[in-house]
Parts: sequence; structure tokens; C-alpha cells
Amino acid sequence: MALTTAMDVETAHRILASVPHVRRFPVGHLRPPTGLIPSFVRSVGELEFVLAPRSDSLPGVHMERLAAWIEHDVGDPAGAAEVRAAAAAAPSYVDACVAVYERIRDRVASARHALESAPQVQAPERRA
Amino acid sequence: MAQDPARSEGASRRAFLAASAATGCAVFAGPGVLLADGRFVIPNSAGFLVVDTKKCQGCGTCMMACSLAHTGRASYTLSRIQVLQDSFARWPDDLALAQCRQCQNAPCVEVCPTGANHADAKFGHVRRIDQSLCIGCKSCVAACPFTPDRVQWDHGGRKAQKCDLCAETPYLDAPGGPDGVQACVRVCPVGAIAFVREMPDQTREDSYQANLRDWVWKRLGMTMEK
Amino acid sequence: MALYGYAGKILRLDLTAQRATEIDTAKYRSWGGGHGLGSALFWEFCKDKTIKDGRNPANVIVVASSPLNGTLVPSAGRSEVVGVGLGMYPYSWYTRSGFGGRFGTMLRQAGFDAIVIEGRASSPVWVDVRNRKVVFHDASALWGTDTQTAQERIWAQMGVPRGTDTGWWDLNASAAEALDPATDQGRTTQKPAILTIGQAGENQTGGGGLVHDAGNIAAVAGFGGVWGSKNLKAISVIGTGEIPVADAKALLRARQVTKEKYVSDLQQPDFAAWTKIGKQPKLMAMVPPPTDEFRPQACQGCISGCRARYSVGYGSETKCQVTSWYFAPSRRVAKSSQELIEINLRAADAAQRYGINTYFAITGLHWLEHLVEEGVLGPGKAIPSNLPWDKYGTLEFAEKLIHALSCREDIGADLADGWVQAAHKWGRAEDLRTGHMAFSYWGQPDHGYDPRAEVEWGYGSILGDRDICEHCFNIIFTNITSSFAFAQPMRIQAKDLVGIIAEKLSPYAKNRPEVLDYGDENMYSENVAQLVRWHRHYTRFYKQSALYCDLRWPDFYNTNTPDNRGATASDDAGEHVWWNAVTGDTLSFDDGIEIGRRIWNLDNAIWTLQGRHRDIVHFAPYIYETHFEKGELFPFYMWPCRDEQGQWVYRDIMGRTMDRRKFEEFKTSFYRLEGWDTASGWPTRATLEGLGLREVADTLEAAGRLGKERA
Repeated sequence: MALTTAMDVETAHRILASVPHVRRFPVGHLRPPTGLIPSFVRSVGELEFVLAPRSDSLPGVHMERLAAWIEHDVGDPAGAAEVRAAAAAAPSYVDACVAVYERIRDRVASARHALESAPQVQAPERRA
Repeated sequence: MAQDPARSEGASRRAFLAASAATGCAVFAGPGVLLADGRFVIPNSAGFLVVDTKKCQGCGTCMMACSLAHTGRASYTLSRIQVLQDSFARWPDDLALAQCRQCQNAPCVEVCPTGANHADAKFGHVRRIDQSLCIGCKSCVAACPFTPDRVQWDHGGRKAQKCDLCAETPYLDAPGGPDGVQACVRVCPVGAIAFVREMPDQTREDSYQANLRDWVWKRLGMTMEK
Repeated sequence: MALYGYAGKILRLDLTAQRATEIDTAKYRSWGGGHGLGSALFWEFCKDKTIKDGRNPANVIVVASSPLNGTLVPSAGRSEVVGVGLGMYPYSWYTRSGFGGRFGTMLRQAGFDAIVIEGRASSPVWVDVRNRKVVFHDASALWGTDTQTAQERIWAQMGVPRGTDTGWWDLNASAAEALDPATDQGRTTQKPAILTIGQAGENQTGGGGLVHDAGNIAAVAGFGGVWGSKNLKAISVIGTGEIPVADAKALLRARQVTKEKYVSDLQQPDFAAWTKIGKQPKLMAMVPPPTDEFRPQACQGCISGCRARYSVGYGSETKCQVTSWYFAPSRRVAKSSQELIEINLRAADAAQRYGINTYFAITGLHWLEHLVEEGVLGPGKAIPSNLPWDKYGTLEFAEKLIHALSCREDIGADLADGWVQAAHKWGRAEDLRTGHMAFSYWGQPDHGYDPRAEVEWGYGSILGDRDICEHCFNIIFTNITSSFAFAQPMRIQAKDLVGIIAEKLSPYAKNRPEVLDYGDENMYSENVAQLVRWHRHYTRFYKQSALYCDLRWPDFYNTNTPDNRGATASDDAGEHVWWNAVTGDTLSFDDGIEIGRRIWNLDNAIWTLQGRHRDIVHFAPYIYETHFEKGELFPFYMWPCRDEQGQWVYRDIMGRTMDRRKFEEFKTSFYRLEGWDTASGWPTRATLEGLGLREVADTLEAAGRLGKERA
């Protein structure tokens, strides 16, 4: 796991906070042979669970849209760029899921680290 | 719940054998031998069923196959292997498989007054009840020391029956018995029942439990641990 | 003449008089079992078929088994429930739900093929069935208990020992009874199979289901609420009987053929095989297992169990959507995967215990969250709710929500009678236009397979009585999409795939692969209408009457076989082969489809009496007014289509909408093919009489609702 040591507190807030419901990001969950469940996330942190590799199911995440969501709704353009790069370099959708998962996982860990290192900062609130 | 009236001691044949043995004779008692020291000895079965109760999926297909192969009818009561479940219990205590152990010193054979229940030499000495000789006394039912007892009571036909390793299965299109096919082994979707030649330890109750799980099981997400 | 495959008797329970009578199954033999048997019984015994609310005392509920239950036919162990449902919109149709486990098998060994439930008890009762002996018991002490407690207490009351270290249970009341050949009831090692309601049913909610054992629930349609309205808490069945089959040798042989030919080898399995019946017993849960200490747990006769019983003491026997109804909220609070799994499986347990349908949560939970976010739902809001929304995502909130929905408390008071009804009451009808409330048909949530994309699912649901929940063709999508996602070669190319399937779509679409073109140009065509017809008729007989499980059947294609052909309609292990081996019938595969058509027409006759007309056969507005967007569910949605050159390809069909006018044309096409009046959707006399249903035609005519013949 690679922490971004230089993450600022404001960015960390944005990554860990929930966006309003109307700006949620749709995801799906495909569990062959018969399970396809629509869902959504409202924070980058939730994506860790969505994208965590599993042997028996696939997450349903549109990577282009995800990057756009992270950039514009979450407000983390650097994170969005990482997602775009990881997805573009992947030879398959599943490889993209794994690669993006790793970026998301690292980004969330960095955000938590950034906030832990600044103990005076309030817990993130929901953004308008 | 009514008490099973067949659970009573004593079989005159046993008493006769015991009395004869007391004279110092080893008495040949039909298919068995009663030794002077009181042990009843019959030839060992040529095969046994072992089960992996941690693997069984509780589908009851073995019970269906057993009754169908022997009688042409689907019945759990007439199945010679039983699957017991408690839906609200935790694994592995939620399920038990009760197969006949083809005991070395089979009490059910020993007590049979007519010799219906015998070690059948034609079928590798499997402990089998000859329906034409069974008088429905239920002595064998009472004699089985295991819970549930491994002898079934056919309440319609008024006879006892038990696992014969598919020696007499008119509806199975392959020969049964220790040298042939066992319907339950064959049909089990997960391979939780196995036929073995080596007799399990007769002094331990758990010796008929086997670990039949392998790398495939592990790959499916389930433990291979004993 | 022997009635092979049947117990031979049907149990009628008159709850009003607390009286049990028997009728012979033979009269209903031509309807098969399960749903067909249920529809025939409903038609005969429901004296007012115009009712639109399942709580009407005139409602009749049938719980039916199939001749195949308990005879080792692979994955044919389920049970079927039919009757007028509850909580649907605008009407609660005569409808169906199914559940697995061991109830159907044990019902037959207890001596009955089906149970007809009529009337209404004056106070709570439970019914004890042992080898055709039926006793009504006072259920006052059970009323208010959850489904597990109810079953455990009934076992205790019957003297059933717990655990598995138990012996034979003698069903005789006395030693004398056991000794008399005329009265000896025999012994069993099995525990009674119980079907019960929890609080969701007792409070007559539209989400109330019928629960059996730990995790089998007939959830859709509100039958639990119907039982609650009848003061029926539970039915217990146990027996020592036997079912004669016509050809046991053929049965055993076909089972062996299935295992050797159609199922992946246990020693060297193909884990990625394209098949339904040939899969290994893989847990079908949406969350990973909480431990590796579990067994697969199967319904009776199943060839590949899909559930589990764990060592951890929660989540047992529950599967699929129920295991993830709370997925989205729980992701907000869980600190680890293990915590996420536990929250979801315990939330599933809560639903099973209360006996409530969790399908509302697929899209309904998001809708509630939307309302909270909008500021219209919550403490002191326009839609008042004192649920702890600040703890949304925790197990505590999940349990409180389930309690509220089950007990008509808080927002549950309005939602209990139907979610779409509540939306109207709350002034939120607009959400059905925007898709914030994605309840696509008959007041039921979108299953996940949007009608604009997977057309046979949407059409089948709206032209019938409920969300179909039949994954017959859906497997195509998951196989293709998984391969695409992993950038793996397709195991079967599109042209071959549709060709193999079309071989089996007999009679309407046999060797007509064009019916499987999911492309935009084909979605309103007569081709698709034929596909939908086939699907409705196949499922009405083979899956809902013969009770072949949706997870394992149909097996159209199967990469375990040399030619990739699956077991469905095959000569060695096809659905009709098993049926004939058990019953002694000589059905062809097509004969089964025709029986399904007959059942489907009888059902439409019931809907017609209830008030069905084509003018109300419409999807929710958002299906027509919005598009199914990329990324909404999955980044791609791959189905076989013909390209511009007529070549078969796998294509992403995201981004579509449903054209209302073209859907009207599709309905006309479908009705015409079914032999129904295209002006109304009602069956015609010619069609009904052609199916031997003259009396049904007479009834419709007397009600002024018989379809006019085509000029």
C-alpha cells in the first residue's frame, strides 16, 4: 500500500465525506449466475468494498464515469487522474477493477493518515 | 411419543448359543460362530460406507436413491441411510449421516431368531436381512447400539430391512454389493459418501467419519480441515 | 390405475370451521402439480374471483408440491404457493411465489400433494399434519413470535428432539397402534417441515412472506400477510409415507447420466463452465462467506446446493438478494470486510425471522434515502419518521427498519399496504416518472434486469402478474458479461449460442434464433413475442408446476458436454424425461409447453375476472420517460444481437428506453399470438375451449369479460 504523504487535509476531507444522495454514484454487483443487484456509493471509501477483488463476483463500475464523479462530485482531481490512468492501462475490465481498487484503497488510506496526523481537525461532515 | 415395543432384551437363540458355549463348545450358529468366551463372530464384510458429515449438503438424494433402488418407491422411512438435520443448529452439528456400519460383531445378526439377518457369503458377507425369512420381531432393531438404529422398520410390509451395500437392488441397472455399485455413493452430488474395503476401527464411534474434502472443496470456499 | 408420482390426496383446510377434508388428486392430474394444480384448485374453490386484495376472506391459498419432489429428479424440490396476493399496484393479482427446502417432499410423505387454505379462523391457529391426520391447534402463544421461534416451539410442542443426535421418532400414539398393521404409522428420523409467518405476516403487510426452516421464504406477493389475515400462523407436515414412481430404473439411470454428462467432474471441475445444472455447489450469496467453516445446504433432491450453514451461527440457509438487501447502507459504516459481511448476514437473518420480503430494498431503500436527503422524510418532516436515520448503515438501523415495516410502525404503517400506494399517499408520484422510485411493474421494484434492456423479463412481468424472477435467459448475460469482463474468449460464440438455444425453443420458436436478438430493432417484434410466449408457457409448467428450480433449469447450453448442448429438452435427461419416469406419462417436451399454455390461460382468465384490461398493462412511467444509462447497473450489458450485416455478435444494449406506442403494438402482437382479444387482452372462447376450458369461457361470458374473437 502506498500512502500519499503530501495529501492536504481538505482533500482528505473530500475523499472521506459522503456526497449528497442526488450526486451518488451508481454501481452494480454481478454475482453469477443469477445475481445482479443495482446499488450506489456516496463516498470514495465505500468504493473499497465495491471494488475489493472477489473470486465469485464482479463489481459493476463504469470507470470513465467514476473518474468524472471523483473529479467533479468528490472534488479530488488527482484521484480522478489516477483512476483514469489505471483503467486505461488495464487489459481487461477485471484488471481495471483491480488496478482502480488499489488506487482507491491507497487514496483512502492516505486520507485517513492525513486526518490522523492533524488531530485538531473536525471529523468530515457531509458536503452540500 | 410412543416407546418402540421392540426395544426389549432377550432372544432365545442367543440364550441357546450362550448355554451351548458354556459347555466349552464353539458353536457354529448358522452364519456365525459363538466362541467359548462369549464373542459372536461372523466373517467381516468386504466393504463399508464412510461419510463426511462436514461435506454433506443435506439434499437427501442418497435417501431417495436408496429407497428407489431397493423398492421402486421414494421414501425416507425406507431409506437404509439416514440424513438428520437441524436447520437452526451451527455447522458441523447441524447434520448427521447415519449409515449402517456393517459391524464386525454385528449385534443385529446375532439376535436374529430365524437367521434372516445374516452375513451373506454371496455378497462379501454384507450384513443383510433376507425378507423371506424375516418374521418382523424387531429384535434386530432393538439390538443396534447406535442412534438412530441402523435397521429400518417397514411398517407397511411388517419386516425389518437394512443396508446391504446394494446387494439386492432390482431397480439399479448395475450390480451392487461390495463388488459393485452403491446407489448412495453413486448419486451423492458432492461425494460425501465413500465405499472402502478396510474395516474402520470397531472400538471408536467416530471411525466411520472420513474427511472427503479436497482442493476442489477449498476452491469452492469451504474448509478442508478434519 | 396407479397414480404414479402423487400422494393421491389434497388437503382442504376450512379455517372458519377448523375442519380438514380430503379430495382426490386424480381429478386434477392433467394440471401436473405446483402452480397448475394450484390454479385449478383456486378456480374451483375461490367463489369470488373478482377480489383484488388478498386479505378478502374469499381468498383461497394453495400450497402445492410436484410429483417430482423427493424422487431424486435433480433440483426439483421446491414448493409453490398461489392465490390473490397483497401489496401490489393497482391491483393485487392472482399470483405466485415459491420456496425451497424440504416442505414439498415431506408434505407428500405425509400423504398430500397440496393444501387448499380457505376461510378465516376466528383466532390464531397452527395446523399439525402427520400421515394424513390433521389437528388444529391454538396458536395464541405463538402469535407475535418470529419464524424461527415459532418453528422451534412447534417442534417442542410436538416432542421433537433438537439437534441431530436423535433417534427414530415413532409417529404412533401408542404401543398398541404400532403393533397393529392396520394402524402402524411407522418411524422417521426427520423433523417436521414447517411453513410459518412472522410478524410481517401477522400484521398483514404486503411484504409478509411464508418461511420454512431458517432461510426458505416465499417472499413475493404478500402471502404471509394473507395468512395473517386468516389467523393462520403455521402448517407443520411430517410423514412416513412413500411415493410410487412409474419407472425407478429410468429415474436412477437419468440421474447418473446427468451427473456424468451434464455436471462438471467433481475431481477436475470446470469452475467456469457455461451451464446451469452442471455447476459445482457454490454458495449463492452476494457477500463472501463469514468463514470457511460451512457446508453447502441444498433443497431436497438438488444436484448442487446454493445455500450454506455456517459455524458462526448467523446467515444460515439464506442466499441471493436477501444477503445483500442492506449492502449499500452498510458500506458507509463498516470498518472491514468482515464487519460488512456480518452486518449483511445478520440483516438477512432479521428479515427471515420477521418473515418479510427484502426485494423492496433493491430500489426502495434508495428511494427512502432520497426522501431523507430531500428533507421530506424524518422526525417532524412532511413524512414523519422517528427511525434513527443518523445510524443508517448500522445493523441496529436495519433491524429497526425491518421491525417497522413488519409491524406497521413509523413509515411501515403506510408502506405495509404497498410501496407505490405509499408514494401516492405521500405525494411522491413524480418519483415514478423520474426513476427515483424504480418500481417498474405492478407496484414491485425493478429486479435489476431493467425492462428496457432484458426485454423478455420486463414483458413477461408486465404481461403476467408479478416480477417474474425467472433467470432462464438471464444466464446468457452473465456468461457473456463475465467472459467480456475478464477479456477471456467466449466459450460459445454468439451465432452458436443462439442456435443451440433456439433448437430447444419448441414449438413456437424452434430453430428461430431471431427470437434471441436483443437488439433495438427487434425489441418490439413478433420474434420477441414468441420468445415471451415460450418463456411464459415453459415456466408455468416446467418451473412452477413440475417445480424445476430456477437456479438450475433450463439448461439450454452446457460446456461440460461435447456439443455444448444442455440437458433441457434432451432425450436422456430433459425435463419431460424425468416427468415421464416419475408419473408414467409419455409427454414430449412440447406437450409440457402446451400444459403450460393451458395454465397460463387459466391464470389470465382469473386476472380478467379481477379486472385486467390491456389499458392498465403498463410499466411505471420512468420506463418510457428515461433511458437505462450506462453505469447505472453495470458498465456494459452484453446480449446477443444481429449487427447491420445480419451477423450475430454480443453487443452492449445500455442506453435504451421503452417506446410507449411500440409497446402497445407489441402487446397487440402478443395477444394475437396467444389467441386473446387484442382490444382487451382477455382470452377468447375459441382459445379456452381449445384448451378444454369451456367452463372458464362460460364464466367469463357471464361476467361480461369474454374476449371477442378475431374477425
